[in-house]
Amino acid sequence: MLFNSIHFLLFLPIVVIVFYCLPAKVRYLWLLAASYYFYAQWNPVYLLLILGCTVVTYVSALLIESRSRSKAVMAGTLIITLGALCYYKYTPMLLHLAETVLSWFRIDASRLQTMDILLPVGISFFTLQSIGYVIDVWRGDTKAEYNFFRFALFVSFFPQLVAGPIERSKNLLSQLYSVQKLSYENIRRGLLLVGYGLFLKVVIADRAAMIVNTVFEGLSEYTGLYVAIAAFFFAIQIYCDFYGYSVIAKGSALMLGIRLMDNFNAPYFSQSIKEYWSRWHISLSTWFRDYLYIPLGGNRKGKRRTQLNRLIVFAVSGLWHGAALSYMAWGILNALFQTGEDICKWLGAKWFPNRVPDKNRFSSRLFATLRSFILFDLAWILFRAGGIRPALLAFRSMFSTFNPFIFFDGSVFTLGVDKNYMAILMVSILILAIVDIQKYKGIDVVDRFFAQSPAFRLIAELSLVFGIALFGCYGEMYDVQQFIYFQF
Amino acid sequence: MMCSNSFTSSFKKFIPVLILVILIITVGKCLNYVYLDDYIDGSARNFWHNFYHYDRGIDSICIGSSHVQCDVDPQVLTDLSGREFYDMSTSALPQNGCYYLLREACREYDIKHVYLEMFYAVNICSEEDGTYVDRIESGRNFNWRNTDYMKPSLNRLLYKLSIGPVENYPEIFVPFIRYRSQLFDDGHFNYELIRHAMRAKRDPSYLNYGETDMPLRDGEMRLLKNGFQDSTITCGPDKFTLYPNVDLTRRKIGDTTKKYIEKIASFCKRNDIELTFFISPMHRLQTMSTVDYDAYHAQVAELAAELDVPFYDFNLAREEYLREIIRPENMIDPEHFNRYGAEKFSTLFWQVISSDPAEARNYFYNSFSEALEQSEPEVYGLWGLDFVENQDGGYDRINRIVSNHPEAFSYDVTILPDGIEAYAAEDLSAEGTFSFPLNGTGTILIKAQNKENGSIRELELPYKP
Repeated sequence: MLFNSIHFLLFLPIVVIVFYCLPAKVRYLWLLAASYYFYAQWNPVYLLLILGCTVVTYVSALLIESRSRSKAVMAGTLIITLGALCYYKYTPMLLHLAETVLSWFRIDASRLQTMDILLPVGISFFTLQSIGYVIDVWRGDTKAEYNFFRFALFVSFFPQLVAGPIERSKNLLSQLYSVQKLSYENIRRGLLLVGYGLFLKVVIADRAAMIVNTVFEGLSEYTGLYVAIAAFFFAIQIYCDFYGYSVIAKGSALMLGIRLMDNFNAPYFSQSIKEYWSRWHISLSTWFRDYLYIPLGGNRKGKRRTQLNRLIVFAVSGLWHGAALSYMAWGILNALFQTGEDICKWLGAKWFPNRVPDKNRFSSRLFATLRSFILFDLAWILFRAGGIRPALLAFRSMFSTFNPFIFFDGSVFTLGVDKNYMAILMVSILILAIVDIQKYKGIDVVDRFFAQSPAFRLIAELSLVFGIALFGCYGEMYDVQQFIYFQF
Repeated sequence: MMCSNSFTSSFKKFIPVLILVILIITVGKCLNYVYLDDYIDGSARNFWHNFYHYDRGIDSICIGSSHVQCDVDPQVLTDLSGREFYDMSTSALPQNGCYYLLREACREYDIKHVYLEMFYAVNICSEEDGTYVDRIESGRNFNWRNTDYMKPSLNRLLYKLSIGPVENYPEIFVPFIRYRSQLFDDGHFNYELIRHAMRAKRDPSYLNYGETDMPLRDGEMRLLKNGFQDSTITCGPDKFTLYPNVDLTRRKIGDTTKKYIEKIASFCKRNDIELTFFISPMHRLQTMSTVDYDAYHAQVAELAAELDVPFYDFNLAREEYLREIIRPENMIDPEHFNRYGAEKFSTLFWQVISSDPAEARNYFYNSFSEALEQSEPEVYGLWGLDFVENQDGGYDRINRIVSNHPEAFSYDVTILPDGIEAYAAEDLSAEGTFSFPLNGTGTILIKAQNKENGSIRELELPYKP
């Protein structure tokens, strides 16, 4: 069940209405049933997997607590949960690798490739969330949950089950205990967030996807600015796709009285790659920080070790995204960009000790933002191209010609989105930018929205509803696009 | 006092929500008004209005596609039978639509007799990229246009829910969403469409459910109050060149379609309604283009036998009954009758359905191939079979002359391109297959000489790229 499907738009109100009609004590059971139904829409068989993960981490946490932080239990839990994740996620890649290596020794291993393993949706998310919980119990940061069904809901809570945010037990599990009262504020805020998330997904991300798919699926035919445009729109697509999902998740949960963490905070206005990673997929970045980077030593063991730790974390993060070398390369490239930033800063301080740039100057901030955006965008090519070779082809094509005329002779409108829809897309991106600037400044956009005059709000809400209805990519004319992060 | 204050404050909170909902509905209605394509949907609007306001009462209905609309004249049947007939049909209506239209008819009137049309094109699966899709799934638009103007009821809701999967509900329930792409037709803002729709909808004729200035077809058809599509159009020679695209040997009746036919039968049984299946006759050129019409007929006959429903396929009617009906002057095109054809066919239709089933059998051959075999040798028209690239880089069109007894004729074909000298088709085979370069327009003159009696049948068929 996709968030941008009618199925979900029917499912959510039913869940919310029944939730508030039930006695507070049993509401979590209803949410658990709804979450399992939600997940079963992809493949009911994989409910066993999520149930297995729940049982293992539930029992492990209890054992860890009762046996005073048993290392053996902790290790066993990691082996089982990460083993399942690796089996589903990395077996095809490892088999391919094995086949390649064996072929060097002229051993026919083509039969290895016949293993057909379907990646369960959301496995990377609920596995990390469960592991995070067990580690927290092991560290003594949180207490083990004794109510199995409540814990099962923590693992499978449907708004964030398949693509995050990867919640911490401290935040989510504790909220599952509190009595959620029906709140007008929560409902209207939740609805606004769901609406905005849908706008990001079906009006911006899926429209941008048409341009991106046209160019990246015919890379040999496009050069120069065509590829640059596609790369730009991919940055927009993946952001609106994932941010849209997260906003819908947050809105849906809010309607149930549960506050999920923010997963994005205007990342494209970051002035450095480091800042970018503190604003992009925040729940994953902080998960890796707390459960990998810091245990590796973080930045406490010298500059070189800090760089190495970062490289390891980003390589693992890349591999977490997908079982391909291109994802790992994408992660490493992001780490190298940060190392580059550190070196530049260090060299700047060494060579020009008296020239301290004024970071508050608009031009400095603009330059830093543009530079950072261009760097992320180049890295995104590795992510989208579908392999290192296609990515290299894309880089080569992008810089092989300079063809600015495509903006003037209408060629830019032949990439799958005509002039009118391009105008709508650009206006929508402008709206996104305005909202993100507010967020970047630390303003609570939802608060600010509800502080506006009723007339303004009505016009904005109507525009949102009819903007989605008229210009959204859904229904018979379009192939409904799955959320990109579902594949991870 | 406290309670009253709390209620007032809660109510105040919901005022903006209420206003928003009212505004959403209002703007949605405005968009429906602006977008709804009355070129297509105008007939559905008038049809439902006429149906709900039919003051003579209805006891017999013919349900189906445009074949019912054009071929069965309810007035003729009413005059012959003394019953009140109504054409409960809209263009290309799939069987789920037939089912819900039947239920709607029974909600409004005391229906005793139902004649369900079984035209192959609405029953067989569509072919999409090599896979076969049930017509109910592939022809949703023929259903959803019907539901816009039905009275609000549970039946209407169930009809809407039957039209497509959940993912299509926006288009099914919100009409403007279906047509939203028209705003930017051909890459520019299509103001003309909106202007035209709004002008037409303000027209007094439209407001009074009369004929609109948006013609249904060629401006010579009008929907009568009894559901009949009255037309004086006659079938021109250009209509006797077809591109066959339905192969009934491969395309079967879909499972969902079958399920709805069964539901219709059981509904009729439950409500003590007499149900009859029928297929109205078409020009042989059309029927023969299906490759194996008997294969389809056998499927329907089997289903009818299973459901214990009488079935009359008028394509199998004896030549003496059809000879005077299936003529160009009685037809709009090879598939539909005009007013004159409908009058004649409706008379035959009544003769058959009012006779004893055993006696009714005498009106028909046992199969379509027998019907062709037993008919006098005739040349029906031309099929454009294929296009092949020629040596000059252009395209040749491969044609076949269609006859029930091809071996009975010798052919002489002359191509008369506009502005170029006429020439004879050189590669003419014994079966009447030939090709010619398709550049520009012109006429194909076919002279078919009956080998037995020497009579000559001449056909002059225009062609265009």
